[in-house]
Amino acid sequence: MIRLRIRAIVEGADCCSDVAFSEKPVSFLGDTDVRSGVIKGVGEVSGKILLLPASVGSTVGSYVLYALSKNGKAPLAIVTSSIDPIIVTGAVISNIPLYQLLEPWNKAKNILMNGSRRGCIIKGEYLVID
Amino acid sequence: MYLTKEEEAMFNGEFGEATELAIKVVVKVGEVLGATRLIDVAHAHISGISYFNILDYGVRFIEDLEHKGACFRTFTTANPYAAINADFNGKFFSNEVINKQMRVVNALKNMGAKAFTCAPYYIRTPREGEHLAWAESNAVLYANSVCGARTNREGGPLSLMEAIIGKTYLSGVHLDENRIPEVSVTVESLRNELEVAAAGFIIGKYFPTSIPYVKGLSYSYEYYLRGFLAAFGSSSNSPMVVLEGVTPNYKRLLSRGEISKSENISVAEVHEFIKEHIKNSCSNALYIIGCPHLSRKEVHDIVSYVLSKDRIDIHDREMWLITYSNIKLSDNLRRKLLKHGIKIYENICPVVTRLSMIGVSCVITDSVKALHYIPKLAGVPAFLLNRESMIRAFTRGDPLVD
Repeated sequence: MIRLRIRAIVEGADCCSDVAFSEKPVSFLGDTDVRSGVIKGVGEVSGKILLLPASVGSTVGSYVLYALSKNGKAPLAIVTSSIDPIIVTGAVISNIPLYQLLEPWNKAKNILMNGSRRGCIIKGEYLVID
Repeated sequence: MYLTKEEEAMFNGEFGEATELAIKVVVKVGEVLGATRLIDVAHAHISGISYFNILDYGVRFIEDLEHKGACFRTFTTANPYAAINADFNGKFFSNEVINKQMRVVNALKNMGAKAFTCAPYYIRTPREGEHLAWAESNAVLYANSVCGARTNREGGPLSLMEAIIGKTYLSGVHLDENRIPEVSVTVESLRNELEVAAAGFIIGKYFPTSIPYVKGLSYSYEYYLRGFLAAFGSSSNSPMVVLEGVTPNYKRLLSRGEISKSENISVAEVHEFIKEHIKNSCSNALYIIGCPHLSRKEVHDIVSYVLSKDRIDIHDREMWLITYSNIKLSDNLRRKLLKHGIKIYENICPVVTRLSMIGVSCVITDSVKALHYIPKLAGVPAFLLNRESMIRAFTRGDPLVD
């Protein structure tokens, strides 16, 4: 078990779930199927904690998060290393809790690459990975 | 973040659901970017309204906002929409595309959008020092660099939120200390709008994140500068260029900072860039002038030039001149232009339109910005040709051989 420090950008309740992990930055517009809740290269994200280094691409990517949420396919929470206005806007309009990872991305990446896929958000301060 | 009493009331939902959502977005983004308070904006400009970009997700969000009673609290314009009122050689878009695009346009109009153009500075010219919340990179660059107004490069959805509250977060180039040039560029003497725009694109590639101080363009026509800034904005993330002899207070801005690096843009380098992309013709070509949108004066200049020559019927090629509305042209004049293969379209943008759907196979344009985005967004290859050559070919019917 490992504890990663995070900070809340859009607050949410404590939760535990599978972690949907993206090794690379995600371009929500273009990479997301909003009907199935599947992001290319990540898999299904609905009801999971989505962990990604950054979001890239068009600013209308925020609308994709909104569509996921309206379709009941939104992630339970998003934890990202690099915060930008696109993901913040998307999280607020979709009411998805958003956290920034306060530790080096590689630390999170190494744990997830080793096969761990279960995580909990504790007090909005830690992402604990089994 | 510090909020005034009124802002707090917005935040607590006293101004309705849409306003509450909008201020929450702007405050959160502002906090992430280190802003300590919000400021009023004189003009908001929204991007991300083409159906081909925002698809059903965007239509849904924008309509939901309208249903929640959203209403813009400041003067607001929006980007042009997909070219749904246009036809290429008689071929139109499907009703589905047209209807979905019109739903977005109508929702924005109902919320208070006053115009649909990528050149909002022609609708309401910003005053020096004025705070704005603009999306659309060419407009942002024009506002900061030519008008001396202040706006960050906002994203589409964020600018929509800012229009609803009439405010933005105080950060970035709204603050004096972030408007200082860090690098210097000298541009050698160039001949036309295409060359000046190419120089803009090259400078953006050299300095994708810094504000450059640019020498050598002060005698350019206004539309040269517009094309230059639009091209720069396609290869750089910077919201501003300090143009010697153009940008208000350029001397003071230069003296406040330290230039860490200097570059020279030679004529040879510009010619090399254009040579790589130039083409006179290709099959099913659409010729486009008007990225960014043409000013009223440019449209009138082009139209009067074309119609001052002998009328020739041109059937084998088609050109679109793109501008914003209120260009008063009679139907008779439009018919005469059509004989030359020229159509004038208002409020639309072919760059954010899937042109392949109406049978276009390639685009030829004088815009370096369009050259950059058309393959990505419109789904067809794009090439360059200077404006004069294009207009001559449509006026006299000169053959366009490649």
